[in-house]
Amino acid sequence: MSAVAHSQPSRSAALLVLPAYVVLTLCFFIPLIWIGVQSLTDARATEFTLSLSNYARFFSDSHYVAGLLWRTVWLSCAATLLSLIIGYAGAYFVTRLGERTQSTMLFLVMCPLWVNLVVRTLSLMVILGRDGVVNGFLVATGIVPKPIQLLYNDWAVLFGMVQMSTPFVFLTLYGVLKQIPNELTSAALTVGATPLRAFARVFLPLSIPGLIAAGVLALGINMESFVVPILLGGGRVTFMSVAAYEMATVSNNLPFAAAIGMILLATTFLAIFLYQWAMKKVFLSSHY
Amino acid sequence: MATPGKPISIKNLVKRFASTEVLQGVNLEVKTGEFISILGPSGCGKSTILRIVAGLDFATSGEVLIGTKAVTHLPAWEREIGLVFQNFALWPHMTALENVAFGLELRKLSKDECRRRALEALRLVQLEHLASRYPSQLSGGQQQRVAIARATVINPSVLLLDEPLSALDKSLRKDMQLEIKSIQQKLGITTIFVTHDQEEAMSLSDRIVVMRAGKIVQIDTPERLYSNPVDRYVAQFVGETNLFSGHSVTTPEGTFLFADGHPHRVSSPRERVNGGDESHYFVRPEWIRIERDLSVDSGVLGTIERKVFLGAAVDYYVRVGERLIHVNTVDGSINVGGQVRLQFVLQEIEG
Repeated sequence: MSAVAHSQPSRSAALLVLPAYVVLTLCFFIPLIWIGVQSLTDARATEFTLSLSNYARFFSDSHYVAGLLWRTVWLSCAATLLSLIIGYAGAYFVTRLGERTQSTMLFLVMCPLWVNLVVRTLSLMVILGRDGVVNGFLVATGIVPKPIQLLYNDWAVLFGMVQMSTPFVFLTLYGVLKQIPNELTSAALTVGATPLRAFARVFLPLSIPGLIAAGVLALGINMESFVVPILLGGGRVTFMSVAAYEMATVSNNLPFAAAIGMILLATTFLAIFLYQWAMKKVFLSSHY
Repeated sequence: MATPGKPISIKNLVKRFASTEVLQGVNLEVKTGEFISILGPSGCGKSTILRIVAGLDFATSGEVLIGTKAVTHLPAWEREIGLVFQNFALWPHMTALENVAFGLELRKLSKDECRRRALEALRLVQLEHLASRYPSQLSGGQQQRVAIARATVINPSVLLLDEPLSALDKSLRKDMQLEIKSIQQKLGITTIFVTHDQEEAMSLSDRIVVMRAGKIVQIDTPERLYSNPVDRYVAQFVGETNLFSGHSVTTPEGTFLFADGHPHRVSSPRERVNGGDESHYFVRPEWIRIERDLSVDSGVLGTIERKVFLGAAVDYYVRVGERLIHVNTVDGSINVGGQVRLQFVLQEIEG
């Protein structure tokens, strides 16, 4: 009788998870494996053989490694850092507000996410363009004599990536920061800590798990970004995802594009792993 | 390691919060080393007073002095206070030892000195052996003791406790009450203890401050509060009571109040002109004597309507006319439905 009782729940549980497995397999794992195999073929080969020629080509060319891969990594890291700072400050500030105001602020932060990313990024092109708001302000106040090039460079892409990933960072951190009881900070004040010390020794350490989660999310989003670099980079800022796209469509070299994709995937995993390891090492160890 | 506490002086404290006066001119003097409780229902303002003395909140007007120093405008971290929270408020990312040592670290003591003093504080609450445990690995009672160690290790002039035992089981509460009292006496710190539990207040305090709706109603020793409440609110809040109202009549044989068709003797009434407003009287359940011999002349006749067995004593609810009189006695042999005579003297509530 107990055998029946045990198998019944696990069977229905398996059935319920099945659709998720099917979708994941069809739409994620199978395409991933297919891309992986593609990356191991050579576009010029007439018959089907597996080779590492694409990878060799990538890593032997400094243009690819130093220019493409490195730029993708450092811009993503910089954008992640900036959105963590902005997102944390914003989330901290919002948790200090009244309940009603908090809901309003949350709504305001989420609003941009309902606007299509392409449209959102195009709006940045308008703002940063020669006749845009920023240049208009700079020229009107006399800071610069004539409009400067704000668009189609690394800074524009950085700006766009921060704009894209900050809402996610904010929402993740807001959830975490809201859970930290005010009493814990008050208790620190009563034993003699100034608000700054209380923040550094009590509040901040307790928000580390949130910073880890938000950082991983932002790193992933930023390293894989496509719309922002292709629109705001204007062809001058080469990004891994954009390069893969151009390889596949313009140059018609699908295997090499696939290799770029796989290298990007591996780099993202490595970056996320290093970030988590570093955060835990630095912040989550005991003092005594 | 006895730390000399300091006296506390609270003068005319008013706290207004969004058009409500949470505190309406509170005055309180606490002597050095005294253990006082602020007693009252939720919302009466007792926690607000504590937070203002701690420096976590600021009064709309009024003064707070610790010793001779006016701390009214000083923030919490510049006052020499220790606060024990209702929900312990231990830092979950630090061990018990680190929790206690944190306040010492802020005072720039050496790491060894911090560790030594923190261990000593934990020893005082018998938790030295659990120093390297995290709060999540400790029981409620143990967490509260760490909180007490954390608040006392920094040698505060004033110890504040905000309903520290409300979150604990009843059986644990009594033990913790004794521990808190013994620590306080050992260290001699001036202590303010906030609670809504009148038994707790009575068993621990040198004096009790009874509050209602932002005002202090009476400040007295537990004994005087119990036998001489200043109004009906205090009479009912502190312990069980039977209340009577009316106009008493003074005759050569004594002063009497007529109620339920029977004259009740009133003890030592104050001088008053006959007539005027109604007076109020009370008698505690355990002051009433039950006479089972119905032929005796003195005492009012009544029928036992309800009996509650309490273990150490018995509560009887006796029907006398319109009224149900609450009697408390150790004799549990009388049954429901039995008739008895109740002998008691009313005390006037003088306020």
